[in-house]
Amino acid sequence: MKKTLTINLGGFIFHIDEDAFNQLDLYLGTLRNQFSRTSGGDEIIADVETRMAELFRERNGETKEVINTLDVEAVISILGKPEDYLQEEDYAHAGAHYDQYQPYSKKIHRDVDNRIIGGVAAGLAAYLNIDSIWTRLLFIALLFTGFGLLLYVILWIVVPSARTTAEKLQMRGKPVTLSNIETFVREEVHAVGNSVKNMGRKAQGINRSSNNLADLLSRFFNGLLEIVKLILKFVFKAIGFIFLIAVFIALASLAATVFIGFNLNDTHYTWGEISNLFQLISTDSSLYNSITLGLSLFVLGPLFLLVYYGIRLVFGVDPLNRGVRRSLGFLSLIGLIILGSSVYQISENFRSESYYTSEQKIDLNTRSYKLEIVQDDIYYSFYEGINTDLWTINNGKSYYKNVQLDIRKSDKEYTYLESEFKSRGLNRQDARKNAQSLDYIFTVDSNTLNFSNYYSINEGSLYRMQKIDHILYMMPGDTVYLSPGTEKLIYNIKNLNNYWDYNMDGHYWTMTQQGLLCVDCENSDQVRASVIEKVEEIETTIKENDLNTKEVRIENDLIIIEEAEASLFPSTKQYPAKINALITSKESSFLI
Amino acid sequence: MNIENAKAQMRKGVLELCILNMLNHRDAYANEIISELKKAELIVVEGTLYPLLTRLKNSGILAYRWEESSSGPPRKYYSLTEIGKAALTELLKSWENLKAAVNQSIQKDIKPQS
Repeated sequence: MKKTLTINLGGFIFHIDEDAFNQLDLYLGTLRNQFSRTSGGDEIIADVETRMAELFRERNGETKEVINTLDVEAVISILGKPEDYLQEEDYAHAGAHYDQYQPYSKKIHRDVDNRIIGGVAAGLAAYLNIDSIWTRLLFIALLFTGFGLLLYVILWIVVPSARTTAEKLQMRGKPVTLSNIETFVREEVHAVGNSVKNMGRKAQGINRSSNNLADLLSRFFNGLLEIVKLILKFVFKAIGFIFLIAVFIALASLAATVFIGFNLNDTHYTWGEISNLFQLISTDSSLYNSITLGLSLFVLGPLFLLVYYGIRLVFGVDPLNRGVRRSLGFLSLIGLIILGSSVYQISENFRSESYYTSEQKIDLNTRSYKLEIVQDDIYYSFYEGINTDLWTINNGKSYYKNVQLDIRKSDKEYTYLESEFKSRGLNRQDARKNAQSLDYIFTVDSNTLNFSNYYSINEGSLYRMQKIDHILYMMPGDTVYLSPGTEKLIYNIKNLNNYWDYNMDGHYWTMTQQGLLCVDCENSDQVRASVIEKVEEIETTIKENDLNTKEVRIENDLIIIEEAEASLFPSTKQYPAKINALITSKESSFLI
Repeated sequence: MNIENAKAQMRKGVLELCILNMLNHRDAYANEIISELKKAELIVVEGTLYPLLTRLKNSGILAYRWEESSSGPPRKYYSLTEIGKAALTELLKSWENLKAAVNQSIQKDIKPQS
């Protein structure tokens, strides 16, 4: 006993048993697939179905009720296997004058017949139906961006060469025109429509003679799956295309960065300048090279995969084989290891810190002098943008803005400059050597002290976070004029007026026993008065308590009294004299 | 050399010529064309014919009309268009040339032996 189905074939109704139906369905399904991309494919199937109906009727006449597998096999042997239909196709394609009815399905191939290198450009030209000169020019243009070579090699690897006639014709396909794109979309939609129809047909057929719900559901979901597949195929192509464009833009901008440079903090840097900095940071050229190598290896794999999958999504080339994927992963890993070890080596070179100080006596004929900041091209190149940079390049040389100046009261009998040079290095010795390799400006004119707020590193040394801290020790009574612009140099100078650094320039400052006092500031008189008041207060306190003071000073409105060790001769106390040294008028610039 | 394949290729080469020639005399539907061709042993399986007819129709060489049939659904009657007639003339000319050339070539080979 067998189940039967009722089918409509070429306008006739047939009863067919289940096995025969499956066989027939498979046969027609294969044919439908085969001709799905041929124009008029539906018509061919319809003709075949009509003919089948005739053959079944001829065979069974009116007497036999149900078609069985033997009938189906007999009819198929008359019509031929699905492959037999295709032989005809191949033959038709071989003739040149049949070009007008080639299928629209098109696959990218390398045109090895017209190749110059690998036939990639020629193949692409054939695919796009343009003259190969344009694709060749495109590759040459891309070559200058650095991306062209990579793209070419990838395409060379992944795009198969056109060897057979069919492949060569497939390579040419149809021109990419608006109407063809429209046709393509229509065919895809049509295919989806057919899937829906098929599904409906199948479901109907099952419904009539079988109540097997599970079977029905599985067929329904298979149909649904086919629709989803078709939609996904379409979506993937679109995504792949966008993806490729995105990757292309990313790579092009990377290439642009390398060749044209980029803007950071509104300052323009060229790649040469960046690599100059890298070279300064790294320990030697071999380490710099290994960083470059490591980075390239690390990036190569993912980059290749990005480009490859973009191409794959758009042109539908074969998936990458496992070996290639593994070697790419391996290369990336090696790149990462090289990169890691290089970074470790570099960080080792920043491990220890050391410094050395130099002291320079400043011998001027006047006790009132000027402090200037060197304002040359290099100075201005730090302030080209809105923000200021810590590092700049001028005429191929790097300059670092890590110089500070503080002003304190001299603890000696003269005015002097103490400079502290700090640096990092492999060990203390190396750090000290690096600290000594700095080039900066400090000059003394008749009454002017010139400072640069930057330094450069001498040939043969590298950037190791060097830092220069100048401290100007002024004799009490000396007056200094902080020229406009010196605010870029001075750092956290303590003063009786409690002025911030950026308010201090453009004013005259006198060193008193109590600290730096502004002579021409808004609050000068007030500050002076309050200081005198405080000092008098202190004087009485000291006298009353018979204190042995070492130093009295005022810091941020606090009075600091340092007591000296108990003296054997209290009568020789120095404090009254020191306190009297406070300036009492603007005119008298100093008093000791 | 695969003899069956060579024979099939030969048959295929003249298949279109025969179809066009047949339709030049009278219009026919697929079944009639098939039985004629089968008689002449030009086709082995019928399936070969359908893609060919569709393509010839698409390229404007053939046209068809639907005709009611007494014994079943309407039939597709194929006929030759003006383009088809021109194509047939061309193909016949080329067939004559080929026939002459082939005969000549075969006879040349045979003559010295006889």
